[in-house]
Amino acid sequence: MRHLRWPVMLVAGGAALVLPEFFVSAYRLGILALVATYAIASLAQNLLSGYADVPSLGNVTFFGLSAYATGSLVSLGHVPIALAAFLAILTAGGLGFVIGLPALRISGMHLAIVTLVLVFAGQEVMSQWDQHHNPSGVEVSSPAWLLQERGFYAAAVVLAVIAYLVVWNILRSRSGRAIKALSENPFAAAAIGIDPTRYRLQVFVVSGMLTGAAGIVFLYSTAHVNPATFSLDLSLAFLTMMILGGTRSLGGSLLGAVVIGLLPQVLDSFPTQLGNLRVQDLGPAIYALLLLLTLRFFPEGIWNAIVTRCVLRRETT
Amino acid sequence: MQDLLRTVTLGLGAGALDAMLAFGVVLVYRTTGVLNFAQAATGAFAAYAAFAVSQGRPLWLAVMAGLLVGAGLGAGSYAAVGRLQTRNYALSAAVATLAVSILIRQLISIFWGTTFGLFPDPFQSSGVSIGQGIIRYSVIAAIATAAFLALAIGALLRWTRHGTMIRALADNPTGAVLCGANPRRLFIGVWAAGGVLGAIAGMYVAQSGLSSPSFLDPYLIGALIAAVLGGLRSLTGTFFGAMGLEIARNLFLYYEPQHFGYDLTPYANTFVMVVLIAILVFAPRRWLGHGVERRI
Repeated sequence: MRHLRWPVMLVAGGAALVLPEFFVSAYRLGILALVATYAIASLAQNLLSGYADVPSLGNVTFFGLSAYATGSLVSLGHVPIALAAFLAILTAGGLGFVIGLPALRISGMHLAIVTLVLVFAGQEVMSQWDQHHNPSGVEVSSPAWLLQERGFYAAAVVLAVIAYLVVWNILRSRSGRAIKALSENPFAAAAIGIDPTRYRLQVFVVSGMLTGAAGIVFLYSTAHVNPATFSLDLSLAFLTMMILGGTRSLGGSLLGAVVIGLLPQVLDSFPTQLGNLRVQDLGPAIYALLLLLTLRFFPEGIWNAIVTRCVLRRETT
Repeated sequence: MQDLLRTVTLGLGAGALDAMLAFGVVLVYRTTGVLNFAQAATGAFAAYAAFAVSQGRPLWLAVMAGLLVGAGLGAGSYAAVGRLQTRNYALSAAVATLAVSILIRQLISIFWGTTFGLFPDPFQSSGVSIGQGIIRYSVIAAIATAAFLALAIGALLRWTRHGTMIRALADNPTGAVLCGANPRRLFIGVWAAGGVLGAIAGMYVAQSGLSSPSFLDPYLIGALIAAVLGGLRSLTGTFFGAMGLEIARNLFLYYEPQHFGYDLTPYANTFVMVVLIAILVFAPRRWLGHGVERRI
């Protein structure tokens, strides 16, 4: 089964690229592109907080910083998109490095607090940037070669597949084994010569860069972002995708992204007004509830629960 | 000189509010290993409830109602997040408290979505004048309350049977249970106490206005940083951390625009984050309590 993984991934990616062309309207393709964006962010979150066991609540800041950097470089500095995206991803990686620095000395929940403060500081910096440079928030227009929704959807899926393969490869490399060993037992890992600080920093930088890439896709899918977009709620959405699907499972990350990405569409099909409440505003509350229910009934995530059940069934037959 | 005094006193006032929230966070974290991000939302809900009761009723009744609601929400949060069975307990539980805080905020906007108002101030907004400004008596009361709470919680933990049991549970859960501690009941008590502390802070802040369900959040950031400065263990460290942090922030906001060409005052949170990272990277390790994971 293992050796089939690559072909299966490529076929699944190809199918995800081609099939919606026939069945789905352009508007829906935009939503699927958002799901692909979330998938990248969710994979990055799982690499950092799942596999490497680093509690990060601040991934949304990598996401937002990179979107802001790209948007500003393109719209204010007239830099070509590819170069702007490259610089933005590097910046997000750099921020990951800076935030990872305290991780050299502290661990656990202290770090969670640093990353939480980062979210508020990030929003503060973005809104100051807006005040001085773009009063209406960052706006971009899609380049012609993206061919609107269809081309954009294809680009998002290709990036998501690349992100999946990057994380998958990292986890199966020397670094990946070191990361897993460190999170299982840091003392034993250090005793056999694994340098905890180096690997933790590496994971922070890689996760920052991947989340940054997702941020750029997000920028072009919404065409307009402002600091309120990158609030703690979105960070919680990334964490919910990870926990809902399954911590330490790549398939789980994808499943979580699909659930959270499609939730607003499901809400749209309900009546808009429920008493004095707008149903569309309930998104965060619903995924907060989903998160609590998942933690209570499927503590290891839905994907992991399904996989475990399948394996058990195969073993018993 | 008087301006300096006023800036420092205002810093102490904000620090007192941070400290009250932070005591709840530290207490809950030390005993149950959960970092409670719902502390601010709990306090905000209690403050809204107290405000609703205060309309046309005596103040003491409103305060009692606020404290009760805070305790109830604290205990309720324990029911929601306290006994999760996950591999990475610390992160899952912390994220779960974030989810709880979103739910509580949603409830606030359902119940009191359009409510704006000032929680009654027993001192009628009067105060002492220092320099060109005035320090309200309620700010001074907040400082006194925070200091009193620090001493009272310390005394309860040190000299009462339940307090000893709580400390024992934090340090050696198995041993404590063998000595007859009932972890479930004590944990519920600690979470309820956390909620009460949140409610007190919430009602103090609400004297300057109940504006939105997240009106207590700026204080939670300060509280969490103060908790880190106290190593997430020490109440004394947390108290002085909160005071030091807010004095520094107020001095920064007061003096920075006068001495630099570029106005950095909108970057107050960023300033705090940079200071926090600098402290975490450079401070001696024993200040930080080794960042040890506490978990029962």
